[in-house]
Amino acid sequence: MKKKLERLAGPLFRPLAAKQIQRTLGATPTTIYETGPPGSDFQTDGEGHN
Amino acid sequence: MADGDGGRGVDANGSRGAGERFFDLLSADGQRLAPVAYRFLHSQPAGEGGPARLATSRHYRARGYVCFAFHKPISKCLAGPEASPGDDTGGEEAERRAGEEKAAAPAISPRAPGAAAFALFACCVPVRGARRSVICDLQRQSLHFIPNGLYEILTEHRGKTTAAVKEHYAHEADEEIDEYFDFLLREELGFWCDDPESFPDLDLSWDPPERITNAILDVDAGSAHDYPAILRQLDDLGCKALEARFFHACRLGDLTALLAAAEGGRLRSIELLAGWGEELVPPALEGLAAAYQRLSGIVVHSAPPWRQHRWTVERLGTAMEYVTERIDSPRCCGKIHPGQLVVNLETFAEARQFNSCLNRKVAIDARGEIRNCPSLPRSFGNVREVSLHSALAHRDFPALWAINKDQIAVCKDCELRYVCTDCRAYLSEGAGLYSKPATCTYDPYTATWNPPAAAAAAGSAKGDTP
Repeated sequence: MKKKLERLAGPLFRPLAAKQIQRTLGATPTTIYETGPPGSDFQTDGEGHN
Repeated sequence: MADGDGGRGVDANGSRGAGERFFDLLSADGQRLAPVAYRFLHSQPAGEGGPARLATSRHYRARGYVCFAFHKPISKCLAGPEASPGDDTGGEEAERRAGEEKAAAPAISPRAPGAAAFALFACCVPVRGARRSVICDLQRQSLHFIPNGLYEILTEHRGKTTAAVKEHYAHEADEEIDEYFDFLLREELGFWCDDPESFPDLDLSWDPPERITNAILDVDAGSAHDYPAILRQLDDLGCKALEARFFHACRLGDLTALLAAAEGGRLRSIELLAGWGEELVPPALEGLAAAYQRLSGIVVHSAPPWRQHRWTVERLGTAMEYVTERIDSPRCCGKIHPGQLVVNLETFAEARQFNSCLNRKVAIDARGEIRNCPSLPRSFGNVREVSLHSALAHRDFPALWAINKDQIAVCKDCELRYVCTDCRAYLSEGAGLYSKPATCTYDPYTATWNPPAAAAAAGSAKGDTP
């Protein structure tokens, strides 16, 4: 007799609630990205044209 | 790449979704690699049109300075949200959220194409627990709880075709197995392929060059730390992240004295835990964040209730928070709750081999005593008399670093063992050095989070600070 496989709909397999997993301190690496036009030295993007 | 729909986003009716259009843009080699590349290029689950953005978007460019927050909590002083029995799995809110996400996701047929096998993306690592298992998505920093039966399929039956898996279960669980693969595809945790051996596991070895990766510096009203000297020594050790815990009511000058001393140093992240003082108003904190950009977070404790607030300085990515909790000594540390779980490659790889809290950590308490952790009783000398180098050279200093979660009672049966940070200072009563942290409220044998008070009553503090 094989083991019965549980259905994923069971309460044990729900994701954690948002209020439970809020981070206390900045534990996630945060990179600041430039969202404006890049500087002139980045304009070519290595693609061989201006 | 299989001939079927593997990862292409073709819905159950056979219509072409964003994924299919994306595949049309790729070369034959690109199509073969796309399931992997597609997964790695997307940091968030893709909705309609998401994959197509890959082919058209330019990479964003870093500003030149990369703000950095350490990859795990350095200390655990803040309590989590109140948990109640039965609330462990998120309840109706999480169920509704999951339902909405499921509805929003493109439909994907669970049917396996031909003789293909299912492969998890390398960044999705299953971990077995006593009652349930979890897939740790180390790229998207998320957890997916799964039945232990699915864990077995993904590990013991890895590389087998769906037919072979169903055959193993004597066709008594065909519906469940289809549901499992539907779930894995919908959550973008893996893909169908003909050659699963072509997709090796991630190398999860952990061996960074720094002798110390993180440090705690405790400060109270009676402290007389020589910040430049301490920070210089941390720089020499390669320390990347510092958490400074000010237990007393702070003035702005107390914080700037430390931050100014770190200017020009090698620290990439400084987290501050400071006692509420009248000067620590939001504009002042944001001013600190702007002036000292390696500041990754500030938590002001003992704040009046009307001050409770949490926000992020968008331009800088600095996390700010006022909490009413009183954090006035190292005894406030060691709190383990779901809010402390961290899912990322660094933490995961480190926790598999080493102690997830103490490894490569040095702590200096408010009196200047050098310890593994301010809550542990043993001192390796005072920083005014002994260098951090000398303390680290002591034979016993790294002794606790090697106690990983697979060696700790109860924790070794927990599916969350590689995404939580351990505590060796406050242990379950009457147990040895290898016992479960006293403040952990999770029971892996029932997969429930118990009320914090019950867990606290069951444990006692091993460590104390004079």
